[in-house]
Order: sequence, then structure tokens, then C-alpha cells
Amino acid sequence: MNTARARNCARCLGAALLLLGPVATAAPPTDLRSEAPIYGGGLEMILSWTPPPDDLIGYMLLRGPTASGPWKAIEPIASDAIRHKARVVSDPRREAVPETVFFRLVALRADSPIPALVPGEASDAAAAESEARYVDSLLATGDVSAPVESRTRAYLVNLTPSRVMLALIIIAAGVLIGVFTRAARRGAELYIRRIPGIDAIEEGIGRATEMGRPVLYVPGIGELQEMQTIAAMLILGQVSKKVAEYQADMIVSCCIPIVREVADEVVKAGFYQAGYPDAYKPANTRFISSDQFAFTAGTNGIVLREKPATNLYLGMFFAESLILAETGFLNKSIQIAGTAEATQLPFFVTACDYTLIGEELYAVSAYLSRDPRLVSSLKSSDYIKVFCVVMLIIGTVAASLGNPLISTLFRIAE
Amino acid sequence: MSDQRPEKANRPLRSVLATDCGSTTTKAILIEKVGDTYRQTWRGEAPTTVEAPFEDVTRGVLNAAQEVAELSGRKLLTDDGAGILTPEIDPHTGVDAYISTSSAGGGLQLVVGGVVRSMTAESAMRAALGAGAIVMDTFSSNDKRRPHEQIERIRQLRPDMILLAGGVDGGTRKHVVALAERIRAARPRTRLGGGFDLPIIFAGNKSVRENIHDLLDDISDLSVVDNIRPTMETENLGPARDKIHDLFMEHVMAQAPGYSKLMGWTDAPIMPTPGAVGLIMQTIARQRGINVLGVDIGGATTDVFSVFEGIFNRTVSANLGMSYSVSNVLAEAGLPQILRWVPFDIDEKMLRNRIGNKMIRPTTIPQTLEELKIEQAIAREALRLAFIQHKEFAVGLRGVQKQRTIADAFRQGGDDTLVQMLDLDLMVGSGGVLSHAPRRVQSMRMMIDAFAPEGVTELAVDSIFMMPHLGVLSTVNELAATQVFERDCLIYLGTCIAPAGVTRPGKPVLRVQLRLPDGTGVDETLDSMTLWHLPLDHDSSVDAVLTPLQGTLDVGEGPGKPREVSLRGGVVGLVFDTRGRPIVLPDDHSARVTLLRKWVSALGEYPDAGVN
Amino acid sequence: MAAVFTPGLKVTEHTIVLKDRRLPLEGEVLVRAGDLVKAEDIVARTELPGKVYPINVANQLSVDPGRLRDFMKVDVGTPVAVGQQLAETAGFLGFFKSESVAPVAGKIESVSTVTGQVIIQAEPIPVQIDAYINGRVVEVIPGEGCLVQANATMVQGIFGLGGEVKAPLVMGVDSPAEVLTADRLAPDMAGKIVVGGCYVPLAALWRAVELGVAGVVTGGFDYDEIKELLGYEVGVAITGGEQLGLTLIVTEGFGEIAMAPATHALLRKSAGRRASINGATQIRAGVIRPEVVVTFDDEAVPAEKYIPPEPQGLKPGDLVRGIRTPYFGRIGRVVDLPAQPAVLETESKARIMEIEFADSTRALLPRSNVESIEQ
Repeated sequence: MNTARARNCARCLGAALLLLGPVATAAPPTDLRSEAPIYGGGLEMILSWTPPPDDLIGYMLLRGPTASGPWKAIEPIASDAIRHKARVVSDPRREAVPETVFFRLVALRADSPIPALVPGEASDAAAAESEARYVDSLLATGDVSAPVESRTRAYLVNLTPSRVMLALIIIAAGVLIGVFTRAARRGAELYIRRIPGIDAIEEGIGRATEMGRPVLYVPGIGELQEMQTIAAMLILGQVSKKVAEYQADMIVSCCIPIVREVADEVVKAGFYQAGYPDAYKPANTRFISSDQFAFTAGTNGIVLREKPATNLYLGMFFAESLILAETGFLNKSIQIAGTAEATQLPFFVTACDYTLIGEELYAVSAYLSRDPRLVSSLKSSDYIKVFCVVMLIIGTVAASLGNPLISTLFRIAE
Repeated sequence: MSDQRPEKANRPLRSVLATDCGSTTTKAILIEKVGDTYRQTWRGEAPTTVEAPFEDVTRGVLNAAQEVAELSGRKLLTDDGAGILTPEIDPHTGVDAYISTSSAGGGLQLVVGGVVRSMTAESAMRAALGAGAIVMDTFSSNDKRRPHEQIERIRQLRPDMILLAGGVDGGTRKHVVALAERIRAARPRTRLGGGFDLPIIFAGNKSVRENIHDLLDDISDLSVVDNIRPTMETENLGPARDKIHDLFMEHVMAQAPGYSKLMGWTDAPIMPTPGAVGLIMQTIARQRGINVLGVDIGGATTDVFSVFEGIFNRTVSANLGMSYSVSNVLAEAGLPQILRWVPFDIDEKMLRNRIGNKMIRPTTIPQTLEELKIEQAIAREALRLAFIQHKEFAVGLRGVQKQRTIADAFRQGGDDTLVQMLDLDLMVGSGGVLSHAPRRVQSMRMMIDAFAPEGVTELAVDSIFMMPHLGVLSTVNELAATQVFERDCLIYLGTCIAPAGVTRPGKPVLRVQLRLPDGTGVDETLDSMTLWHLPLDHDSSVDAVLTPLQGTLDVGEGPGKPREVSLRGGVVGLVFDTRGRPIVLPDDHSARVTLLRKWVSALGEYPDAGVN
Repeated sequence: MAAVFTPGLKVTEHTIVLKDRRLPLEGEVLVRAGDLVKAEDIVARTELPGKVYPINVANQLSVDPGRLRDFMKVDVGTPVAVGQQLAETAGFLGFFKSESVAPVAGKIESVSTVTGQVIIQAEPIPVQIDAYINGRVVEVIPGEGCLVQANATMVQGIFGLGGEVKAPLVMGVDSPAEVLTADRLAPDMAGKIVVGGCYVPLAALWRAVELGVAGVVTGGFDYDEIKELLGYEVGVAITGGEQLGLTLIVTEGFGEIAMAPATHALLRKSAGRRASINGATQIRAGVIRPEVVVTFDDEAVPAEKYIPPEPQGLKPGDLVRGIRTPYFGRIGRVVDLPAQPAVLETESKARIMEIEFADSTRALLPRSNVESIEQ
């Protein structure tokens, strides 16, 4: 019997406890609370408690379906903890998650009953019985807290201030997008501040047209799934439409094969939309090399041989940024760069005529197309950003003065 | 043009007869040397005689000259009465030079073409407008019209000539040739018909000249001049502009009735009227080293000229005018924009009908004060809209590689127009509604409201539209032209002092400290939304210290900085305007009317002090 | 010096009307001087060049424009049919050929070896003009058109919309001060020109279009309703090409203004006869006024070209119309023409005249705000 119980407990208890001998009893942990975090899908509960004043060797967490048991010892907790993340079922793949579950916490002392580590074979029934007996002996020590109820679905309606705030922001964003889209569709003029760099794109295409030279478009060396590359592809669509309207030529130089394929489709679509399908030349969308510097060398080659009048570097750039931009500068091209890579911005700023800094890169597409959907989402995200900046300032001041209100509003993870 | 005739530049002149053959009247002025200076002494006018039944422009010229002759007692016509008597024989017989401008028959109408609308097409437009032409349409590869639409349009238009530009030297070939092909396909004809080939000027990429000859030689009278935009960074308008003037003489004028005779009489080439106005403005700006803005508001069109930093620009707002195009002002500005200047209530439908009636009866004049106020409200909007168009057009070259610094990278941009109001020194208005307003202060108010001058700006009107005559005169004798311009052409209204920037309402805006000519001092603090009038004639000036009292306001020395300046008066005097820029009137009707009446009475604009 | 007043509008019961019938571009004149013509007779005709269609054949074939001539299957100047092959590449061993076909029928206008464009000019569009009025051809302008002359009643309006129409006149109202409302329009007015009074509301015009009325003559009309009628604003008074379904002629101006009694009486007298009307208006140099012309077909038309007398200046007793607020639309007779300019309420100086209106009241008006009614 003893052997079976010991084996069962060995399965669920930490080895540290097994080294301990019997010790004396005192007060239980008090004020046990349970809170459902917004993450974890209701499978975990955050427990917190006030520890008893005397020395402990640890805690044992008990879980039961009702406030009166039956209890099951589920895991030991270190003696210095005052919070713990507890699972509501041992294996969510096999067990159904109950709506409510109860926890109790037992303070373990040197004299608490501890199952001895004795390996052996026994039936499941025997193991269950020995575990129950172990739990009983723990309850008998009197070092056990009152049971606390945990609602596993509580996370769905957990109205903490930060969650309400998040919900409000999301709703506000949605409403703003809706309002701006409607306004834009009705022909209202949604103001977007002038971004000289974007205005210069059309100027650059015009220059290329007048000079009878191509436009060079480099969508960066990022993979297709990078935000910046996606932005670069969106801009490419607008740029190719303009290039088609001007009946100019454009070379797209790509570093990633899949980006080249997408770019090709985008350019083709742009030429078709502008009504000049016949002017589209697939050979002008080129894959150079997947190697960063081979690509850079190849692109520089294009700059030197075909002498583009205008170079557009929009997307994700790294060490090649200055090499490209400097070559273009020497070629006397108008250069417009845009990247969200903060480390590369200084190089572009020094070597290019115009630089789109960070966020501006993502605004280009809306700015150029004036598509109500894009403009309205740009507009609403701007308003949310303004709101966040204001909150940041107020929060900083408030936190410096010791008021945690704003920081509480924006605490998302525990 | 003065460069071409250096031998004439300082020819001793004792007297000049100048005429301007407008579409309805031919105006003649006599300029004589009185003592050491040239003065405009006499003027006369007669109906223009280009159309049936006379069909000879010289008859109108002779009639106008005869009127001058009768008034001045100087014999100006030859004995048979069929010519101008030159040179001067004695102070009562003949004149040393006869010169003329012309805008009869609708002026010089051009169609221009270029590769990119904002680049070579714009340069071509600048050349055409600068030469004094009306641009009927501008074609470019990116004007959003399909080739066949462009061809149809070229066919419909019957211009006097076509100016084709496009491509920098060594630049694009296909775009330029494509434009020429479209012109060829359209087979355009001249406005006046007849058996003449349409003059086409090619001022584009020099490497396609051969192709252009192949395409256009047999369907037009093609002339090739230097590229208007030899590189993206430079603009060379001179050759194209001179060619336009030459062709204007050779073709357009030669075909108009009587002009070949007139051309034989003149001592300098006949110029298109607006071209001559541009010339005198450039001369004045260069000689005095100032920035000048000029406006001529007519019945059908409004011309705006500017010379900023030596760069001349002219725009024609073909659909903004006070009679033929008055309904267009209503359509473009909208009724509320016009009504905001009207200090009383009026039924909107009735006002629309009245404006419509002015369009179909363009020669009528306001008989009641209410009508005059409405007309001047419309004029403000017409001028404002024309000026917006001008500012959009008067910009630096596009498509140029920029040398930008780190600081520029963070600049938000802003307007890149050359027209910077704070740098403006002199504003000249002309055209009936400005020149013939019953009180001069009304002209001043209209110009201040429409153009919103900033800092310290002198305002003047050309009372009898003498600028065209002086423009041509400046090609013969620059000194005479500038002397007459200063003394007789302009009526100085006074100076407008207006802090630039948005003013905070209800707060003091500007402190004005003046030392008047009689030695007394004035120290005034002006609140926002105020017009303050101080009479001062043109011959006196006062020393002033202007101190903006709000940090963002600028009187020309930078935001918030005081400025010491000498202010000159005029027939109106000094007008201090603390309404801020842009001028925003209250939306509330009664608040606006109260303000308008306050301004009207402050300036003494109308006999009824604005109460109506 | 020319007269200061604005030349007036003709309202004449019996005059000689001379109409200039010209082609938009050179063509063939079908009549000879001295011929008697009916309004519907074609007097001249020509062909307008057809639309032009540029096709970028070099791009379609993916060949260099400079080599385009090697692949062209048709020459410049030859006619082509829709779908006809214009050019074809040699391909590879007879395969992988690409071709370009004509999208429209027409003639090959040009082939460019710089841009790769082939320009096809579509079939010309025939244009012919009729005599507009019954009368006699008094002069032929070779290649351009002719002048047709007739004895007629002539009423000029101030503003019109729509082009030439020839139809019988019918009275829509009894007095010049009445409004031509929609209920005054009857189905039997279809194809006729309805004469109204002081005003025609937009609803009545829509009704007239619906009924198929050929034209409406009215004293006044609201300016802002033009926009609703046409869908765009008329900012400059140059009209005639509108596609309204009818021709509108306004005799007095915008607003509700009684038609001049003389005008109304003259139109009433002509009711039932066929009129030629034209809404074309151009208020600029080379003024064109909308007009109603009713010819006297049984009278002999003089064979020589009528030269209208030079307009005379106004003299006391002449009938005039005020054309600016506050006397807009009022009709009266000239009493006095003081030589000295007078100062107006606006403080402007202007030459004026004294007028006595029909109700015997007198007023001083600037001469430029008065228009003579030429009888």
C-alpha cells in the first residue's frame, strides 16, 4: 500500500519534497484568490495568496470540482511564491474543461506528511486510493487555505480596465475607418499632409520621360512576407500605373525570386489598369541574385549601364543602401528612398533627394491612389496614433507623479 | 527684345505716340519730353476698326491719333491723313517715334504641346504666356487624353500657331514624335482661315528635329528654335518667345485687316498687349530691384503677372472676368463665397439671375450702391481665384535633382510657389472694376481682400491702362518708359501693412509707432480683425516701427520680430490690416455683417458707411 | 464716337433677313445665286474627316519600331477593313507569328518608325447644311456656302439654348405677363414652337420636352435652372450646341420679366405660320443672338444682297428697354439725352438718359444700362 501511494505521488510531486523529512505544523496560507488572465484560453488561472508568517518548505496545490472536494494534489509550489499559474485540467486534450473549478493551497512544513519514494507496481485503483489518503493527511494538518472558486470562462467577461480600454480602441478604430470610408466615398476631401517625397515620385517619372531614360525601382532585399516588402509592392502598383500613363520605361530589380514574380504581376496589372497593356515589358522586371552583395553589384550595373533618370528604393534595406544610393547619386538620378529600417535612414537621407521615413513608407499607397479604403484606414490609424501619443505623454507625467491610472489602462499582459 | 536693338535703346527721343489696339477700343497716348523728364501728356481713343464694315485697323488708330492731335494741338497725321507723321519736325508737328500693341480679334491664341505636363509642356506654356498669348489648350503625353481625343481636340481648335516642345536635348524621342504625329493626323487649320499654313514652332529635343521636319513640313509652316528645356535643370524661353513675336507679326498680324499697313508705320515691332505689359513689369522690377505683382481684370479674362526674384510669370484665367465670364466666377467660387463680402442680405435666386443678366448684357454698369457692392464682391472672388491659379503656375522647375540637407529631410514641404507675399513690394491693379471704382479706397480694399498682401506692400492702379504702351516703349527707350510709368501711369493708392500668420481673436495683434511728416508721433495698438486707415499722400513717407504682438505673426523680419520701415502713402494712404492670413470671415451671418460694416466705415468705402 | 448705348435687339414685323449658310470646312455648294430655296433644301455639303485611331503595332508585335516597315502588310494610304491584318512578324519556321489587326475600318494615315504607331483614319462623316429659311440665294461663297435672303418677321432674343428648328408657332399664353405653366401645354403642341409670357418654370420645360414640343419662346427664365436643365453651368454665354430636345429662346433675360408687349404681339400675329428659330447665342466679339424668323413666302424676294443700314444713335421718342437693376426689363421711351455725364448713386460718373415708362413715371438711367428695341 505504502509502495503504491509513494509511486503515485512520485508521479505528481517534485523531487525536492521527497528529500524532506517530517516537520511541525502551524498556520495556513490565507486570502487565496483566483483570476482569469486574458491569455491562456481559460486553461490557466492566476492564483495569489498571503503566505503564513512562519517558515515553510513549500506549498501543495489541491484542485477539486466542488468546494467540498474531492481534492486532488496537482503540483508543489516553491516556498517563496505568492502567485502561481495553475492549470484547471491536467491534460486539456483528454479532459473536458469544467466551467468552475476549486483550488486550495496547503502549506508544507517539515513535519507535513510526505509520500516516501518507493518504486513498485500497483493497480490504478490502488494508486487512486493512496493518493486520496495522502490528500486526506494533508487536509488533516489544518495548514490548508479555504477553497477558492475559479471560473474558467471568466476571461471572456473579465472587465479589467486594460481590456475595456483595448476594446474601446478597437471599436474606435473600426468606427473611424467606417466614418472616413463613407466620407471619402461621398467625395469628401480627406486631408493627408503633403509628403514631398511622394510628390517627387511623379516628378521623377516625368523626368525619366523627358530624358528618355528608364525609372529604376528596387523593392529592397526583404522576403515577400515582410511588411516593408508588401508596402513596396503596393507602391509599385501605383508607380507602374503612372509609368504606363507617361509611356515611360521602368526596370524593377529584385533580390528574391518570389518577389520578382509578384513584382512582375503588379507591374503588368498597373500597365493594364492604366490602359496601356501593350507597353508592358516583362523583361524589365529582373531577378538579379539572392545574395545581398551580388544583387547590389548587379543593380549598380543597371544604374551605370542604363542610366536611369530616377531611382526609387522602397522597402527593406541593409548594408547595400548607401552603395546603391551613392551610385545613383553619381549617375545624377533623382533618388527617392523609403524604408522603415532606422539604421539605414541616415544613409538614404544623405545620398537621396527625398527620403520616406518609417511610417511614411506605409502611407504612400494611400497617398498615391486616394482609394477611399486605404485613405480612411490611414486616417483612422493616424487618429489612434495621436491618441496613443497623447496618452503616452499624460501617462509619463502621471506615472512620474505616482499615479498609475494610465499605466493600468494600458497594461495588457500580467 | 531690347537686347536685339541696342542701337535704339538710348536714341534721343522728344516725343512718342503709342497706341494699343484693343478688341473694342484703340487707345492712343502722347509722351513728350517736358524739361528733363518724359511725361504722358495727352490721350485719346476711338473704336477699333478691325471688323466689318471698316476692316482696317489703321482707321481706328488714325481716329485715336487725331483725337490726341486735337487735344494737344500737335499735328500727328500726315497731310493726306493716311499715316503718322514721324519724326518730329518741331514741337507742334510730328513725333519721333510711333509704336503700337494689339490684342484685337481676341489676341494671340496658341496651342502648346510638351512631353510631361508639369515639365516641358509647362515650359512651353510659360513661353507662350510670357509672349502675351492666350493658351487655348496644352497637350502632353500624360494629360489623360487618349491620342484620338487629342487629335479631335487639335482639329476643333483653330489656333494662330502651335508651340511644340518636349524632351531635353538628347532625351526622349518617341514622345515628341508621337505628339508631332498627332498634330499631323489632325491637320490643324489657322483661326483666320485663308490659304496659309499654320505656323508651328518646334522648341524641343534637338535630336528629333529631322523627324519633326519629315512630319510637319508639308502640312505647316514649321520653324525650329533652340530647345526650351535643353536640360531638366535649365529653361531657355527666350528663343521660343521671340519666335512667337516674329510669327505674330509675320502671320497673325499680316492676315488681320490693315495690320500690314500698321506694321509699316511703327518704329518697333507690334507686340501682343499682354506681352508688352509683361515687359514693362519686368523692366520696373529690374530697375528698382523689387518684386512686382500685376493684375488686369477684364470682362472675359483676368491676367496676373508677377516678377519675383527676377523671374517673370504670367497667367491668364480665361474664365474669370467681370462681364462675359461673370457667371463662371459664380460657378467656380460658389455663391456663399461671393456673399461673404456682401454687407447686407439678398435673395440668392435673385442674385443668381442678376449675375446671369450681367453675363448676357456685359456692358451694363451698376446704378445703385447695392449693385456696386455686389459687383465688387464678385471682383474679389474673381481676383482671388485668378491669383490661386497664378500661384500654382508660378513655381520653380520640376524634375530637377535636389541638393537637400538633413534638415530638408524632415521638412514637411509646403508651397513651392515663387509668389511669396511677404517679399512682395508693389502690387498694380488694372481693369475697369479696379481702375474705375468710384472711390480709390474701394480698389484698395478689393486688392487687399483678394490678394491678401503680407508684410508691407505698396498698392497702385493703372488708371488708363497705359502699361502696354510703356512696354513697347521700353524696347525703344527704357528711361522714357520708366519715367512715365512712375509719374503718370500709376496712381499710388498707398501701403498695406498686414502681419502674416493666423491671429488669435480678441487679442492685440500689432503695435504701430509712427513719426508723421509734421513731426507728431503715433503709437497705436491694433486688435485682431481690424482695418485701420491713416491718410497719407504719396509724396510723404513716415518712419514706422511695426511690432507684432503675437509670436507667430510676421511683418517681414521673421515671426514675432519688430520691423523698422519707411512707409509711403498714396491717394488712400496707409491701411493696417490685422485680420491675419488667410483672411477668414466669421461663419455667423450677423457677426460677419457687423465686421464688414466696421471695415467699410473705418475706411470710408461707401457713401452710406455700409449700412444698407 | 460710337453710340454709348448697347445695340438693341431687333423686333421687326417686316424686314429683309439675310442668313449666312456656311460649311464648317471647305466643301461643295449645291445652289447658284438667284435660286429660290425652301428651308429644308440642302445648299451645301462636305465630308468631315473621320476619327483617327492610333495603334501601337510595334508593341503588339514586340518588334523595334525602326523595323516596323518590314512587317507591315498594308501601305500608307490604302483602305483597310475591320479585322484586316495590318502587320505580321515572320516568326520562327512559320510558327510563333504575331500579328496586328485593324480595329476599325478606314484608311492607313501613317506608319511611324519612331513610335511604332500606325494611324488609321476612319470613314469621313458627311455634313450638309440646309437653307434654314425659305428665300432666295443672293450670293454664293465658293466652297463655303451661300447667303439666303427673305422677307420676314424677325424677333431677336437675348439668350437661347439649342440649335436650329423649323416649326409652326403656337401661342401658349394670352398675355406677355403670364407664366407658361406645365398645364398650358397640350399634346397637340408637339412639333410646334410655343410662345410663352414672362416666365417658364423648369417643370413646364420638362413637360414640353416630354410632349415633343419643338421650341419655347419666353420672356424670362431662371438662371440657376439652366444647370438643372443641362446638367452643367453656362458660365460664358456661348450656346447653340445643347442637346435638350427643344430650342429655348429667352427674349428679355433671367428672372420673371414680362415679354416686351411688341414682341408678344408680333409673335401672336405670326401664330400658325412656320418659323425658323435658333437658340445659338454668342455674347462676345461677333455677336450672335437667338432669333425667331417667320418668312413671308408669297412675297417676291429681292435678288440683290440687302445691306442693312448703319445703326443709328438713340433719339428722343425711341423705344428702349432697361437692362440692369433697378429698372431691369422695364420698357419706355427716351425723353432726353443730356450731353453732360451725371453722378450716379454709386458716385460713378456716366452719361445718362431720361426715360418715360409706360406708366408715365420717369427715371434717369446710365446709357449703358439701356438697350434699344429696333423696330
